[in-house]
Amino acid sequence: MSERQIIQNITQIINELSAGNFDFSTYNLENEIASCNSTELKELYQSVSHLIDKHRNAKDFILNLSKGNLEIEVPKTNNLISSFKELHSNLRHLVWQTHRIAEGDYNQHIDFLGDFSNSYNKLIAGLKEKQIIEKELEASETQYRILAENVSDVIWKLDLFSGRFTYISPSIYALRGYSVEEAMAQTMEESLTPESVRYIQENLPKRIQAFYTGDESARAQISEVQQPCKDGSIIWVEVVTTFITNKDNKIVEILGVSRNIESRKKAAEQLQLYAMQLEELNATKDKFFSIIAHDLRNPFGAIHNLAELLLENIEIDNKQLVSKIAKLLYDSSKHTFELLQNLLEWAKIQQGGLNFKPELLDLSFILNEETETLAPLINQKEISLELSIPADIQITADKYMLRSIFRNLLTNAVKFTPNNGSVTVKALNDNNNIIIAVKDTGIGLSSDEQERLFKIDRVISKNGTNNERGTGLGLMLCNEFVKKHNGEISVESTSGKGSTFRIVIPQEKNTHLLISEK
Amino acid sequence: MLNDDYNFQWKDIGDIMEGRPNLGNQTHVAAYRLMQYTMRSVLNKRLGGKMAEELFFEAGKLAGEEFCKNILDTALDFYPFIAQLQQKLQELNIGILRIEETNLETMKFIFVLAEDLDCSGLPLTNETVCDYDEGFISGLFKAYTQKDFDVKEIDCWSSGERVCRFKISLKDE
Ligand SMILES: [Zn+2]
Repeated sequence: MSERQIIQNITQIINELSAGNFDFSTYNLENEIASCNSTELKELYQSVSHLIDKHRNAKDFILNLSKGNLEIEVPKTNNLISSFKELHSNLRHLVWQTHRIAEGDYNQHIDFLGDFSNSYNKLIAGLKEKQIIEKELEASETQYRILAENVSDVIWKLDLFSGRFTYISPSIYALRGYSVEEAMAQTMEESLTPESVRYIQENLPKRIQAFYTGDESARAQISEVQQPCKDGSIIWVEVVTTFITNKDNKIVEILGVSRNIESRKKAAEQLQLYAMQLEELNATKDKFFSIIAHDLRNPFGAIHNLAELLLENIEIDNKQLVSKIAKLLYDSSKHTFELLQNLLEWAKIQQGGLNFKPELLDLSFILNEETETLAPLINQKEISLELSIPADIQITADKYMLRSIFRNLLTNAVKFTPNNGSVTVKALNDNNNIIIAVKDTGIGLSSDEQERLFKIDRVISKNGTNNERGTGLGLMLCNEFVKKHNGEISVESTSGKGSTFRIVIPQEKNTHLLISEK
Repeated sequence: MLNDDYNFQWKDIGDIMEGRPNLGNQTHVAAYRLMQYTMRSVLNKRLGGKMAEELFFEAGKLAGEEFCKNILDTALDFYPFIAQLQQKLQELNIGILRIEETNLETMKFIFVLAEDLDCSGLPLTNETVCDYDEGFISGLFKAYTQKDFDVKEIDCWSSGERVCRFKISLKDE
């Protein structure tokens, strides 16, 4: 091949290269160049070959890049594609950054490709924000969960549409003895006592209506309900309920916090009891002063006047009058003494200073003794007294208290029975209960009076048929003493036709006391 | 500075704000390159190109270690640490650090420095010139991991690659 032909071939190769053709194997110039003598021609061929290589490398590199194949060898010292190499590096970095983002590392900033990088960075910022929010949410959820699961109060949620619980904290076990699963399986109705269900059914619709008509205060409410426990017991529970609304302000759930208030309720009951006791104590005090002011002052006044009258009449030597005055003086002082005796006993009870000392007693003997002391009054009013007491009846009782009971019942019977009336005392042992009844044919008691008889704060005083003074203290004493014996006192009476006072003293408990005493 | 045992300390950089109240912290890249390439010229002639290259690597390594200790938080995990490094390199106008590969299991990494302070825009010479950067990266890794790393610049602006690409791997024990 002539030099001219070789140059023509090289020119053709360069033209084809410009046209984008890279396959020059058909030319087969290697041997021609080798046998050629022109060094210029050899250098030209070498340069052209070098250019072809660079172009081929460049083409392969860009082709790979366009296919997205970034794991390629970067052609060395090829300035034709230096910008593509930079692009290649940027793309590799972008791939690496995307990997990192996929791993949750949002500390990436894209800094090429203009609008693309802006959008990409916005996307990363969004993901980062979401990640932060999610972490915060997770942290607060954990916090609330820990809180909900560790407080002794029970936290729960109820779906208003299904009426089912959607959450109950584990402290339900401590409150009601049910596991979370067991409690969740219950309906709201099953978790409450019937009264509390009624209370809820009555109040909840009203409250919901109030809330929907704009009363925001109806959103949260504190109520007290009763709940059955697994062991069958019933407890008082304070429930704070809050309406949870959706974005349309429709109530979808109720959030509740339940707390055991048994001890608070008990304390309130105790407080009420104390208040009652205090009231009684106050009434006792009032009664005490009223007795001292009236019931004791009057007889003492009478005694004082009679004594004065006696002194005056002794001088004028009127024996008949003196005797009459002395009799009145005796009656008055005797009555006053009885009153004093009762007052003293009653005061002792109030101070808790009266010891209950039961012993085995002969009932007939005690009753006889007490009726004897009343003999003068019975004789004076010509009252017939009948005692019907089986001789063998024995009673376990406090002797002192029993005597006081009989003294007062008998005194009252005689006092309120008109002249020529009758008083009957009967006793019997009914199945180890000693029953003693004192019956008179006296003035009787109205039903209102009967009701008020034994109550300190409402006690009545009534004068006898011969205007004997009364304070109502006697029956109160009887009541107190009978109660000490675990017994009962009752009255049957018709106004104008007499009364029957009945006491029952159970023996078993007192016998038991007697034994334990010894 | 005549002391043969002179040890570089970060404070030797001095209080720039006090010393340059009017000119401040900025200078021309040309000034930096003037310093580097005249130094290289003198060293090459005195000690030979190979030795000069080694000295630049060594100085770069010292710089990398001190930079890491004084500017970066080494308590960070790897990826946050790298993010911080990227940010600092950009803030100080040293270059844009792009990561192409990170493999924490094999401890092999490929870092790319674009718009590098040392070589971006340099005339083409068909050889890599960022010996100082190689040392710098090696020093950073040493200070962060307490281990020695091989750092080789496999592509450089000077060799026509437009970016400087560094291959980093744990030094064989
Ligand atoms: Zn370089």
